[in-house]
Amino acid sequence: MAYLNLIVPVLLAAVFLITITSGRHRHYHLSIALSGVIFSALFLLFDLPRLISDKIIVYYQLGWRPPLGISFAVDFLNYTVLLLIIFVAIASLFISRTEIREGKREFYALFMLLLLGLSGATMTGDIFNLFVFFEILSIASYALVSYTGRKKAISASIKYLIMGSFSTSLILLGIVFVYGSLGTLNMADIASKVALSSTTATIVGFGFLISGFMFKAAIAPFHAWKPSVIRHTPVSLGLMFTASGTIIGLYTIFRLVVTVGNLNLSGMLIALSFLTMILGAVLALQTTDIKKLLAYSAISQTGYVLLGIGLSGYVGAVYHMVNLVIIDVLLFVVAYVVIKHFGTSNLDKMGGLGVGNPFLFVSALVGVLALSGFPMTNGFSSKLLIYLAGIEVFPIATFVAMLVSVLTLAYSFKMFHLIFFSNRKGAGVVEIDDTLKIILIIVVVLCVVLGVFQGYFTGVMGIISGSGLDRELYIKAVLGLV
Amino acid sequence: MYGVVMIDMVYFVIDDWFFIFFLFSVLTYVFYLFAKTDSDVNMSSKKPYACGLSIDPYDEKVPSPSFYKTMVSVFHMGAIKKMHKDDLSTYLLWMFFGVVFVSVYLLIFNF
Repeated sequence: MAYLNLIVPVLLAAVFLITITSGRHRHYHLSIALSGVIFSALFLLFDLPRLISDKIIVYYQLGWRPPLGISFAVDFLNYTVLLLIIFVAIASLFISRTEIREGKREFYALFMLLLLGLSGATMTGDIFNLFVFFEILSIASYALVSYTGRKKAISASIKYLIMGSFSTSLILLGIVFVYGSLGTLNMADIASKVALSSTTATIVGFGFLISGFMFKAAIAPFHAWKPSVIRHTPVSLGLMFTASGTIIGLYTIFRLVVTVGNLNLSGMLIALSFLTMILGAVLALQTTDIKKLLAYSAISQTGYVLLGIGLSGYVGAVYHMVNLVIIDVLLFVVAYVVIKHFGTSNLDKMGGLGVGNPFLFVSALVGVLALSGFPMTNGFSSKLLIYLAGIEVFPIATFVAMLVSVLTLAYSFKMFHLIFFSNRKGAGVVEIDDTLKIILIIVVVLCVVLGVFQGYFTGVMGIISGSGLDRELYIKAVLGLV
Repeated sequence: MYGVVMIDMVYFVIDDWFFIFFLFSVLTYVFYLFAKTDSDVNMSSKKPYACGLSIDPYDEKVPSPSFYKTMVSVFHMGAIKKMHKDDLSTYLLWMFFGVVFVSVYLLIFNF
C-alpha cells in the first residue's frame, strides 16, 4: 500500500466537499482545503521510510502493470517536487485567508483542482496521464485567473487560455508522435525503447513535448504569459503559479530530457537559459509593479535551473529549484503584506516602511539577499554550484550567469529600496497576520540554513538529483524487473 | 554517519555562527540607518543650499523611480519592453519560433 496513491483521491474529495457543502464559519472552505493539503503532506511523510529503503515507490493503478496499465512512480526527485508544491500550497492558502473575501467556494474548489493536477503530474509515470493532469491544472488555472471578474483579469485569462491551449496541443501532438513511433505511453517503457527504436517522429515528438512543458515553466520564448497573469491574479494565486508552476514545468523537462529521453540538449538548454535569465532580469529592472517584478524574477531564476541542467550540473540545478521555491514564498508573502498595506502593487506609490517594521524589514532583506546570491544565503549556495559546473564545461556560461546576478542584485534592491526607503513619510506600521509571520520565520530560517550548511545540503541535493539521473533503476522498478 | 555530520554541524555553528550573525547584523543595521535617514524627512526645516538658495528636503534627494528610469534609459531596454505589451499575436509568434528552434535542434543533434 502506497500512501502517495491516496493524495489524488483526497484532493478530489476536498474539491467535492468544498463544492457541495457549506458551513457557517467564514473559513469553512479554507479549512477543508487546508485539511486536504495537510493530509497530502502526511501521506508524503508516511511513505518517506519506504522511499529511503526502496529508492523508488511504484504503484500500479488497479493492479494493471505497464506498459498497458498506468503507474505512479515516485523517486527522491519527484518526492521533493511534491513536497515543495504542498509547502507552496500551504503558504498560498494562508495568504488567501485574508486576501479572498468573495466567491470562496469557487476559489478553493479550483485551487484544490489545481493542486490535484500538480500532484498527479508530479507522480505519474505515464505521458498521457501526465497530459491529463496538466489539462486539469491548466483548466483550473484559466478559471482562477479570471476569478476576480475584472476586465483585465478576464482579458489576461483569455490570452493565457489561447497560449495554454497552443502548448497543450503541442504536448498532445508530441504524445501522438512518440506513441506512433514507439508504441507505448509509459515513461519507463519509452526510456527502454528510445535508444534502439527512435525515429524522426520520436525526436519531433520529444521536441513538441519539451516545447509544451517549457511554456508551463515559462522559459523564454514561452515566458510571456506569466507576468500578465500574475499581475491580474490575487497574490496567493500568483505564488502558486510562480513557484509550483515553474517547478512542475522544470521537473517534467528534467524527467523527459534526462530520465526518459536521454537526449543531448546541452547547447539548446544553455542558449534558452541565457535568453530566459537575461530577459527576466532586464524586464524585472524596468517594471514598477511588484507582482510583475516577482514574475520576471522567477523567469530569470528559472533560467539558472535550466542552465544547471544544460551544463550537466544537476546538483546545482536541483538545489536552485528548491531555493527558488523558498525565496518565492518569502518574497510573495512580503509582497502580499506590502500590497495590502498600501492598497496598490505599484512600487512607485510605496516607500518609507524601513522605520517601525523591523520584522518585515529583516525578512525582506534576507529574501532580497538570497535572490541576489549573497554569500551565506541559499541563493549563493546553489548559484555557486552552477557557476562551478559552468567553469568546467563552458566558462562563458558562468560569466553570463554572474552578469545576470548583478542585474538580479539591481532589480531586487530596487524593489527593496522602493518599499523600505524612498521619501515617503508616515508609511506606518504594517500589520502582519500571525500565520504569515510563522511562514516568514520558517522561510527566512530555511534561506539561512540552506546557505550556511551548504556542504551538507549539497550532499542531500546530490541524492535527489542522482535519483532523477538513475535511468536503469527507474526503468527496472516501473517495469517490474527488480 | 549521521552522528559525524551532526558533530560537524555543531562545530561549524560554534566556529562560524558568530561571524555570520555579526556580519548580517551589521548589514541590517546599515540598511536600517539608510532607511531611517531616508524616511525621517522634516518638511518644516529648510536648509540653506550651497549658493544661498533654500531647498525643500524632499528635493535634495533623487526620487528612486527617477533613478531606475535613468538606468533603464542608459541600457536602451525600451525595445524589449515594447515586445512585452500584452500583444497575443507577438507572444504566439515567439512560441512558434521557440517550437521550431527546439525541434530543429533536436533533429540536428539527436538523430
